[in-house]
Amino acid sequence: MPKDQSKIRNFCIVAHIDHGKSTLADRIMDVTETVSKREAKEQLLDSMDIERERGITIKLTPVRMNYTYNGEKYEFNLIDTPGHVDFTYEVSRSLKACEGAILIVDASQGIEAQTLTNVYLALDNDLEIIPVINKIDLPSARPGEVKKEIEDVIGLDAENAPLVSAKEGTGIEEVLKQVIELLPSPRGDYDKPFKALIFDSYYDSYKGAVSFIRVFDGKVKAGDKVRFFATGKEFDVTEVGVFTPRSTPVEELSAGDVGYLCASIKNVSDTKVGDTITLAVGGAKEPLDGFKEVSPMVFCGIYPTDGARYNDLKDALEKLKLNDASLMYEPEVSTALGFGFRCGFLGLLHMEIIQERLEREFDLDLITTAPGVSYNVVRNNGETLLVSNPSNLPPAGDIDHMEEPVVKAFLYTPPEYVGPIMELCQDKRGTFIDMTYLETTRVKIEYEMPLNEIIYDFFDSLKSRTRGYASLDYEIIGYKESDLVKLDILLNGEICDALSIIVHRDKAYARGRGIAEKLKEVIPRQLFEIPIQAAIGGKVIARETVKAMRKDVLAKCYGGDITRKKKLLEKQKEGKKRMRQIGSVEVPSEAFMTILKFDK
Amino acid sequence: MSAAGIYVHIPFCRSKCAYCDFVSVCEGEDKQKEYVAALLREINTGRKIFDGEADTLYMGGGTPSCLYKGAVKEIADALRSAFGLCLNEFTAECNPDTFDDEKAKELKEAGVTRISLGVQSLSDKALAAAGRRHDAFTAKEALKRAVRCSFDVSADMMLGLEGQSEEDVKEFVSFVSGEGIDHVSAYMLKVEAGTPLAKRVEQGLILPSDDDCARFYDVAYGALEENGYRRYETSNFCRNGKICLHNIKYWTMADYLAFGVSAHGKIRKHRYYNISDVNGYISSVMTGTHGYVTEEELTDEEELAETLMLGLRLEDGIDVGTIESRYGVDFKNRYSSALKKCAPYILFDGRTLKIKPEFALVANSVIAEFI
Repeated sequence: MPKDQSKIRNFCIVAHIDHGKSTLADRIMDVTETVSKREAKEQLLDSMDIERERGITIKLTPVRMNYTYNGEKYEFNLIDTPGHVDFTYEVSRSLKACEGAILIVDASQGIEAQTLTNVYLALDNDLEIIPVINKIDLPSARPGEVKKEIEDVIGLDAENAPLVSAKEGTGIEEVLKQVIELLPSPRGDYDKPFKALIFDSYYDSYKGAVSFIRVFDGKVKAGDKVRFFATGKEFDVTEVGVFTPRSTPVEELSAGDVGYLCASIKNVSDTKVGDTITLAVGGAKEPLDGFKEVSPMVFCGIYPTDGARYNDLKDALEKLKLNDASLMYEPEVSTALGFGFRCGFLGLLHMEIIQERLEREFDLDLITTAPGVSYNVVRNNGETLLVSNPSNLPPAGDIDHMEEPVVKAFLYTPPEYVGPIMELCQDKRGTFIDMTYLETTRVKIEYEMPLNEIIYDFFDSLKSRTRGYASLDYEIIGYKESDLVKLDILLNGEICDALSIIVHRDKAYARGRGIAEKLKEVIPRQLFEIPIQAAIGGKVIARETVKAMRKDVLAKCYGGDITRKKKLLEKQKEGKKRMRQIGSVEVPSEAFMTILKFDK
Repeated sequence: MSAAGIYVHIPFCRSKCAYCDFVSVCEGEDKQKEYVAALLREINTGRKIFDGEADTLYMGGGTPSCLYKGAVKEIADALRSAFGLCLNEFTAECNPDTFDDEKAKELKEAGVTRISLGVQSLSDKALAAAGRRHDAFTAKEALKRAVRCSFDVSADMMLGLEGQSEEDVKEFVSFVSGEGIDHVSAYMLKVEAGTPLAKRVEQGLILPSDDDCARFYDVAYGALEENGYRRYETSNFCRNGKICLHNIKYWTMADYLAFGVSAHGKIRKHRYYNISDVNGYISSVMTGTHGYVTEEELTDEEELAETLMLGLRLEDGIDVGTIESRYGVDFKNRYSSALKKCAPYILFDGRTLKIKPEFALVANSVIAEFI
């Protein structure tokens, strides 16, 4: 039976951190009686601790709600979106699953940088946008001015924007009214062959990989044989359902619906975000457009602090990988750090999230090496290698040339920050491409830049130079030849492989000096003097010295001091366990992390 | 097994020094009497837990010299009758400002043979900053008095005091040496949490750094050696064989009994600590049978670790044969990696293990490899 698509609204919420996305989502669920208040607490759309702490969402958990308006029953599908450049592609796929978006703007803060990237993405996907002014309960609220900002900066008509306090639950019904009246309903064709977009997936130990789908045309039910365009693989559908927000099986999903599909798929990498599912027999000829193969762009080594926990780390990565097709890892060995893994991530945030999850959810203590990208290395004999671990770089004499990944970076900023941004991009080896005034208050700047520079400290520098107003988006455009060198760090004369990085020759001196200075701060004084050197090839370009320790004893030790002293020594010994022995030097685990922290 | 030592803690002071976190209170004669009564009671029950011999007595504090007249003798007599003591050494810690002729006479009569004077510095500036009650003149008089009364004398010297200089350290050594004092304990100031000094440091007081302290120590060490003292333990120097017989027991794992508030004792593998507040101690002893708050039985492993930790503070180091026979370990084998790692800092000939004198101040790093 074809469904009445005019009674369906598929939409998402776009907002800057802290502008109240989760709270508004909760209130909407309250009003539509989707979950009880007590349940709502546990059911918050942001499901992971880390996400909640950082105010970002990585996993998208959609929810279906029912709402009666003017005697008519409507069905809402709310799809949440993450708000970080690492996940731009995922966001764009979620947006593609919607017809409209609610744009939340804080009544006192106004429009902020992060809002814009997603607003533009939504506009790119032809979504209808309803602006909503939130936090009107705050004494500092200035809804009139914020409305004007929305009109001036984004160019949306904000005259009738609902004034809401998600916290106090006021104005929510007006939002729902506008969702119904202003957002378009889906216009799929029930009679065409089944065609659905995967906008997320997760692994369930009973059902296998579960795809979150938006059905554009046709219908699907358990028992159908379906085909995934990207992989060409076919599977028998075992279950289809909707999110209430719990997974609830239904008979059939059809054009306009948002729901999930299970087909005993063993691996989430078979359910790629952005892929199109159709029927194996008599299916659609063409997939939906916009599919991209997501590949890791940022790499680092991850090692257990306690070498004995290598297998625990391996198990933990396996478990995370089940739910995260974009996470890559393979075993590697470091002279300094022992056995560990080289891991690949979508970006720095993705990397941090994985690290934190490994530490929190699996109770692992980790040592992480500096993040890097993968380089094309062309040897003198013409052979090409892909190198993501600096230690695997062939000797400089064998290398004909090297290529590094380059991105096209789009920066959106108020005009007053154009100068500082261009200075920053120049400093990061960027090549200016274009600058456009989107309106009088908004400039779009395009640069071509090495990805290596972006993952280093670009994002933080950008935020600090523009007081958070500029936003960044980028896409990989390929590899370009570059004058790259391997920068080694020597501790007491011995190379520490875990500290080596690949860097542009012009940057090597500053980076080398910066790392040596940082290490001097974090390596504790030991019984002998420790030279810290940064070197390219055999040539030392920077040197610092950790002076020998002169005193570590409590001078006196009598009857009453013995127990205390013993405890102190045990503590010292405990501390030593967290150290890595690099040649004769004891290096605290933090040292490997510290060099990731960006020097300004 | 050598004879045991006895430690008695006297928690009274005329005032509290800025850096001190020992258990000490400023109380008058009434409280002191109450305390001594409790102490005597603990001593009389202490006999039950120890049936060996003791040959040294050390009265520390606090300031034993600020006890009411007659108290030291009272306590010493109680110990003598309880344990049938035949003492080779009886030390009393004294502060220069409470060690007058009368006190010297009183202590002599009580049987005290050795006076440990809390001089700390002979610089008026440094003494005042540390909140000591005495000045350099008083300290010098007290030292001379102790020598004159033919006590064995030890002078405490503190390194790292606010405003201290290398000159101060040299002058100290030259004075005590000239006065014929044969024992010096050189301590480094440690800022203990909760003390007035810690508060001042929080508020921005800059004390000499660890490197400065190490330098002061080297200066003191050099000056003392020049004057014929040897460093028999990390912070203790003596000449003419005048080592402290009581303190050496701590470092050689001999037994020691402990009486008084917060005192720590060890009998074979049994370690115990007394309650650390004065009133709590008094009521516990007067109503119960003893003042212990904690007891522990050392395992062989713990005892071995302590033996190494303490023995490596001694100039003579550790006797490998004794350890091997006592704990049934093959020393070289068991500690092969520590011996290798610490090779530049130790002297090891297979029979004894010691830390090289020039690394005495970083002994913790070495010891940590062995425990």
